[in-house]
Amino acid sequence: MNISAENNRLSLVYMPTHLSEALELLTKNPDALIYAGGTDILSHQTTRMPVFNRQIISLRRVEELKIMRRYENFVEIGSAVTLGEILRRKESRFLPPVLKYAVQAIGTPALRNTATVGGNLAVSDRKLLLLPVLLILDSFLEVRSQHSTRFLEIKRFLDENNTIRLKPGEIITKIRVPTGRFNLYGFSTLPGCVIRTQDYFMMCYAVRKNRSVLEKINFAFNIDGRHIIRIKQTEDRLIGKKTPLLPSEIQEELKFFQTKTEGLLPFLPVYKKERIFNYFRLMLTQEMNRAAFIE
Amino acid sequence: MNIDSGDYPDYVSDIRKEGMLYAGFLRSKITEGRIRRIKIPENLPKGVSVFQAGDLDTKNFITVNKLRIPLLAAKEVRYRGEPVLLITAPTKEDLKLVRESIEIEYKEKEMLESVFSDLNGQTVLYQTLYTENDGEQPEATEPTLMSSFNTPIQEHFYPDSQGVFIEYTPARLKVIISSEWPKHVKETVKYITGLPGEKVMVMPAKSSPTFDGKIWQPSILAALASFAAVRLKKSIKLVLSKQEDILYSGKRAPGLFFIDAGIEESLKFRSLNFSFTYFCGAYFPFTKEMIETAAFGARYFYKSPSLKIRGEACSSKAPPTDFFSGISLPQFFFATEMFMNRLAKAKEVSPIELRLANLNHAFFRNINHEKKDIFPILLADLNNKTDFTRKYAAYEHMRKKKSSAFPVSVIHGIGLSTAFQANGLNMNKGRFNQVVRMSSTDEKTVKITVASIPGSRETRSVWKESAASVLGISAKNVALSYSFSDDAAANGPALLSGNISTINRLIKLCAAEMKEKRNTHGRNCEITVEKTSSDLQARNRKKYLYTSATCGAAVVEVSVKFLTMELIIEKVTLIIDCGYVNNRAVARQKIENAVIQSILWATRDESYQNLINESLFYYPGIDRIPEIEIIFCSSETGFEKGIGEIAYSLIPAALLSAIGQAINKDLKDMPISNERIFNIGEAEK
Amino acid sequence: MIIPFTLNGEKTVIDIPGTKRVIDVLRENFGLQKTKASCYQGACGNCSILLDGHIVSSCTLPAFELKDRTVLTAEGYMKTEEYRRIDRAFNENSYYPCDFCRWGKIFAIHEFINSEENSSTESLTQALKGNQCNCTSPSLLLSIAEQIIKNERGTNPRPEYEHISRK
Repeated sequence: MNISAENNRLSLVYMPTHLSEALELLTKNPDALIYAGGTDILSHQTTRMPVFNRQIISLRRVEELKIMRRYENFVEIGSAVTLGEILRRKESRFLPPVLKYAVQAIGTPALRNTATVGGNLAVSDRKLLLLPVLLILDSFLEVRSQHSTRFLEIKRFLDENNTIRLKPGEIITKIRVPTGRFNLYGFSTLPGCVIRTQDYFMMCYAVRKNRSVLEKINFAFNIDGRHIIRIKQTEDRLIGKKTPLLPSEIQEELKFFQTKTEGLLPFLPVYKKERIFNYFRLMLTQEMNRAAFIE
Repeated sequence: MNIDSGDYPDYVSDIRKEGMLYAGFLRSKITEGRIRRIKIPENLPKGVSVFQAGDLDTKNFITVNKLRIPLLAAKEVRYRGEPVLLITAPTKEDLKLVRESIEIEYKEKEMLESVFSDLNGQTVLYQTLYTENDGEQPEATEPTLMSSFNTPIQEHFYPDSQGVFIEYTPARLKVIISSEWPKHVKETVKYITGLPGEKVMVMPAKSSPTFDGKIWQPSILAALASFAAVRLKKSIKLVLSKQEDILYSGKRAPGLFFIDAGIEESLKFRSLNFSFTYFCGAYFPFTKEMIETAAFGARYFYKSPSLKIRGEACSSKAPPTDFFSGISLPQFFFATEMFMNRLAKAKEVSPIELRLANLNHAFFRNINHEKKDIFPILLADLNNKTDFTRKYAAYEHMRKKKSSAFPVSVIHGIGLSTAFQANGLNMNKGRFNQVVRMSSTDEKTVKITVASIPGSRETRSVWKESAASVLGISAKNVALSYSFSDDAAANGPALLSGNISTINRLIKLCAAEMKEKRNTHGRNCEITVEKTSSDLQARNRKKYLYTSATCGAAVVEVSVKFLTMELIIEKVTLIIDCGYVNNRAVARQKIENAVIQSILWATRDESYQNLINESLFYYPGIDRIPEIEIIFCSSETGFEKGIGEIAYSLIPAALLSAIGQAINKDLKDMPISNERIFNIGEAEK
Repeated sequence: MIIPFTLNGEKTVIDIPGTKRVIDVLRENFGLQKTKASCYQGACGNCSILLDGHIVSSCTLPAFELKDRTVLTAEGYMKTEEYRRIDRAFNENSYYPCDFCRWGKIFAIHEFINSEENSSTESLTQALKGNQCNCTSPSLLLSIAEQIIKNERGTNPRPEYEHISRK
């Protein structure tokens, strides 16, 4: 039996300052780890000395990715902007409030100053808070590789498990969040006051209401940071309805929603399924009736 | 060592010294079985040593309260995580590599799913029986209510892991350790290394006052590390990893309770039977103290003409449990107070009324040993503050109606509990003796020497102020130091670190005697006075016990969002009679923390195993803490009582009763979780 | 990996594995023991430092992130005027957090003072939630922090413009 110091192998770290440089490096080293804030990566490393076993490309010094700009109909956020920065920048006051609340709900202030928007979206094994929120806001992603750029709605990057899939050599460069599309938002996370829980739940919605008519409604759930649920058909069915909804309409929608969600997550405990259903009911019966934000 | 000058060494994890070795354990991966063979690779890295039980020869144990506890498992393993080997290495990396390369073969092995999956009793270690009968025959009458209750283990929060640093020099061994019982550490190190007392110096580290959950376990670390230090002639640092600390260090022992009671029309008890078992893990040296403390609660808190108590401590296949705030009373009060609330519900009376009818009013005395019935005052104040009676009746009404009504979105519940904390109950004698020595050479200054480590900076100032006020000098002129040298009579662990009462009263006794001596001997001559806790009890042991009980009551208000199965703790209100409160901010802080930790104990969401996989004991951030209101009902001035433990006894029962009322179900077991609330609701449907 | 950065006001260059955690770099390579290591998951707040003036958890930060940046640890921050004012407020209110959580709490207050957040109790609670310790009373921390922030910011109000349902 021999003891070797093999797991002390060190990783090579690249720190490009331009996007083109970063993309070139990624093309040359397709297996390299793209490192943005790294909070998720490091907090899941069990050893004192993190083990990566592959090359690292840090995006922290790429200035193009740290830009946040406001345009007439949208706000553009660079993927390496930290979550803390989003809350601090003056452009952030034009962002839909639901996004800011989602950012505030992530981790602690110290963690938010390291974690980045792009990192939050691109974490591969889990689904963090921002993805469902950006999804319901109909946001766009700009994804670039050395020789191509894709600029598409965020939902077009999702696979059947609602995970963002990028091609080899691609990185998320910008997120474009439309503004002024909705006038009623809701955001809710659990736990509220219960002290310890691994049980995680988030719901968010964005609605455009014209007087009392629902012109557009988007809603999504994040369950345990593993599943994102969005029922497009229900959203479509609700468009054009007048609030408050009639009891018969509510019953009908609840029934439809239940049949749609029933088979979605076979491994989910009953109480979590019930909770999704109850939140949806709460949204229909109470939340939709609130007054819209006057622009 | 002088406490004032900040003469504490740093945290053990901060200490580093040139040439020191890192030490770590290789622990058993099986729950029970015999070790067949240990395969240690031949070419170990340079400077690495591995110690087995055989290396310690006949000294492979520590003695605590006459019980011998093995340091390293020799042939037999009694729980998962028991230390089998001690490894020392020059670097942490080497330590990790060696630990991974050693294999242990077992035979007749038993493997339980998790460290804590078998908490059931193995052997009865201690048993107590008590019967009191007024001549009637309660056996003939049917009990009004009988019920069983379960409490889980409880982990203790502290930021720095348990550890020890041994500084080796040929002249002496300096032991820096996070322990509240330095005297025991010293005795142990002397025995293991064979060194004389003057060559062993024990210094409690900064984190020591937070270790009242681990009284004797630090001695094991000290014994092994000092053995290795002397053998290798090197300084050694042995700090448990966060995960080891959470998994294998001492916890509050789980308990199982059966209570039945008969009740008369006047609401007074006709009969009361307690039967309880505490599961102590593989080793537990204080079974008698544990069971007798719970039995004391059973015997004196409520009054019944016929009373039967049967209590036992059992060993189990879990890691050893340890002392914890309140020892066994919080478990006992959880069961008893849940029972009282159930009884009130069954009899359709107010829980306050039922308690007032049955509390043992003769038990509670004031400082002059006069009967002072404190609970009617406490409960009346608490009722006024929280509007308990009205809310309770309203929620009861809603609860009864609920089954037929349309489900409401938020349901409320309110729960009440009462308890006492008997300070230093069985613990202020013999091995737990507390000693205070006071000396002075002139009339303006005085020096106090104690053997306990003060729980906080404020405790120190409270001690000083007490002495100063009696002697009529400035608190600045009181010096405080602690000693556990061989000649000091002091030998108690700082078991009651949250409890300033015993030491404070000893200081006051010393100061009073010193004042007297100054009058007779002259003001500027050398005077030394020493008092031990037996001095407090010598006059009247019963009187001491009764007058020192801290009494309290709590109300917890909860709401459960029925639509989302979310439990929200709206408000926690406590009213506590802890005598004179020296410093309200500090007292508040102690109680608030106990409230938070007891809520954690009662509301663990997932199984304990899931929690510890994160190798992180979760303490809630400020955003997750409910509103806590604390009312001090100070009865007498100049007389302090302990406050560290009563919240652990009060909160869980009040909380679970409130949840039970909200969801219309009799809860019996902790912990409660969102999932359990939902499942109970489902079963109801 | 050679990493140049500014540590407590002094320009420093260090040659270490780039992936080493900053907490270990500070404690082991620089002997800055006031920064404590506890959870290694960015949850407890004990390892907080100021990176370019903002609070971060140094346990979830690899050393290469330090390149060309400014680090202020407890040892450096102690020399600032702001620290003296915070420390005075702690002492005046008999608020003595343990050495583990003390700096995390102070840095969280520092971050809040220099933020645009309105000083409502709720925002302050959110700002201080990253410090988990049982050594002191949470309600006392909140009231002292409120007082400090009021003093530091004067009567400068912060904007309030949200319109959202939040439970």
